[in-house]
Amino acid sequence: MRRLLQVFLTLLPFAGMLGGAFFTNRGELPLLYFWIALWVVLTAPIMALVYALEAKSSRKGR
Amino acid sequence: MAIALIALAFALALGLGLASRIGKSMDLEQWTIGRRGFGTAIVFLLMAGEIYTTFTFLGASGYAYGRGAPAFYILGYGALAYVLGYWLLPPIWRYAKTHALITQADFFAHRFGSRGLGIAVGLLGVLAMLPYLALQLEGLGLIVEIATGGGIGAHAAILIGTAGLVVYVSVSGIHASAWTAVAKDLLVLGVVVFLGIYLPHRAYGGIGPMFHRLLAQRPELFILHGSQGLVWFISTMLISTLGFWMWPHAFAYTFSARGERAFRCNAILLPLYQLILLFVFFVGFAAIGIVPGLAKPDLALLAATAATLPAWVLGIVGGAGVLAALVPGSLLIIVTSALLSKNGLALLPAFAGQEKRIALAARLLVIPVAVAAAAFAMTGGAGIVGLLLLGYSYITQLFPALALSFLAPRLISRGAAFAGIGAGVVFVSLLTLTHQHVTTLLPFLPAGLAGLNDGVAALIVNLFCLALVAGLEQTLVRRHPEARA
Repeated sequence: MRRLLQVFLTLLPFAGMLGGAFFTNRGELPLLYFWIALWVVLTAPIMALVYALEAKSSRKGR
Repeated sequence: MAIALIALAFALALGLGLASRIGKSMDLEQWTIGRRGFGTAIVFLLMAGEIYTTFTFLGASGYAYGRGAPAFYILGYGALAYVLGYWLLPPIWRYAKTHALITQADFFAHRFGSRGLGIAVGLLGVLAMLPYLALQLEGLGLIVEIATGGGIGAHAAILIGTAGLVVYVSVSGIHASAWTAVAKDLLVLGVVVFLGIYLPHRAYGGIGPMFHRLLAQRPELFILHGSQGLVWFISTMLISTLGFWMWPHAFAYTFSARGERAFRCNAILLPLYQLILLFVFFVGFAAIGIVPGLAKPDLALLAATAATLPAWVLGIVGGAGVLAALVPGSLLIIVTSALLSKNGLALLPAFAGQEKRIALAARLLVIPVAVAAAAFAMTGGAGIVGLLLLGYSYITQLFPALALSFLAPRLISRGAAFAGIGAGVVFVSLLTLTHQHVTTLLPFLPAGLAGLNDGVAALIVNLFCLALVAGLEQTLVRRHPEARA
């Protein structure tokens, strides 16, 4: 279950950046620019969460 | 003044590079991968070295200046590559440490039990890295020539830079890259953030007003359209992400880590570091108002700086540009020389089992490798970028075999790996040599795929051939169990 959550979290930035480009390709920072930058920022806490889950499971394993 | 500041940056790199040798005995493992002793901070700097190369100074700002929205892929793919690295690098590092592997070619040869595959991967790596190295040197020449107002010509700068690289790389190896990376990142960071804030203020009164003005004047600049539409954007971001860790020098700094924690921590930290590229784009967009109509968009950052700031500031920018070329350049030279020595010369009877001789050969090979790259940089012209893009498409073809060797090791054999990599490389070469695109080569494909990156199309061919051979082998083994290797 924990591994599944890690995989889901890992795929989020890919879905956000690659999939999100379809909905943000408008010039109204311009939206596409802001969207990519936002996901770059979000990637850090998402990966921190993935790492925390990793640490938790390895402690449990010990 | 500008010449003095650039000379100071060069002397700093040379001094740090030579000083990093003190107290270390240089066998091949120490010279190439720091005897697997680098902590999280040094691995961070080596990995971040990919963000701030001469491409940052010239290419990224030039792309924003000349093309606008398509440049945003540069911001995104680095962050995605670090996410991928979180999962990919620890098993690569563990395997390499367990089997005492030093180069990427060692890894493939050992992982698939095929010396032939190791040689093929090594050759592919050298072919892909030479234009990459030449591009760094060409960028160095361009930066120095403009920053000194022609006081030092591009060719002279390339020759001086190459000589410096040869000296400190042959003496200190990857330790030189690590030490100079510290100075480089501090200087580049300062320059990029300063210019990214100052130039928009100077030209438009701020970052917000700059975008409002540009959106009103040139709205098409902030939308993906035409040949660089959404399909191009997504496929290019994807291919750049998958190819990021497939470069031979990426394997070198992966192998140099003390532990796998370095990769996990850096997957959290490096995406934030990537955000500094925002300031590079700000410079490119500001340059539209400061120096409109440049024939060479790659000169946007330098031209805008020269037009608005005194010569001594341009000297500091030039110094940062020199370091941004030397650090990745040094790593590329080390890895190319190590590949040629460890996976080329070592196969000759005179070198077989002669570790000291192989290590010495690697350090001596630095000279011909650097000279070849410098000659290429001075004569290659626009062809270098084309070859680099081709190199990226080539190197990405290693990804399916590598990933599947961890995800489904029982399914993938040396034959399947060879078939996949070979088919992908041949397909990319075919498209390049015939100046075709996948949609013109296969006209039954929908027109919407016109922007699809050639590398992605080649990856699909690669995966198909890999699966076909793996499937045939599995069937053969089921029918004739005695045929299992």
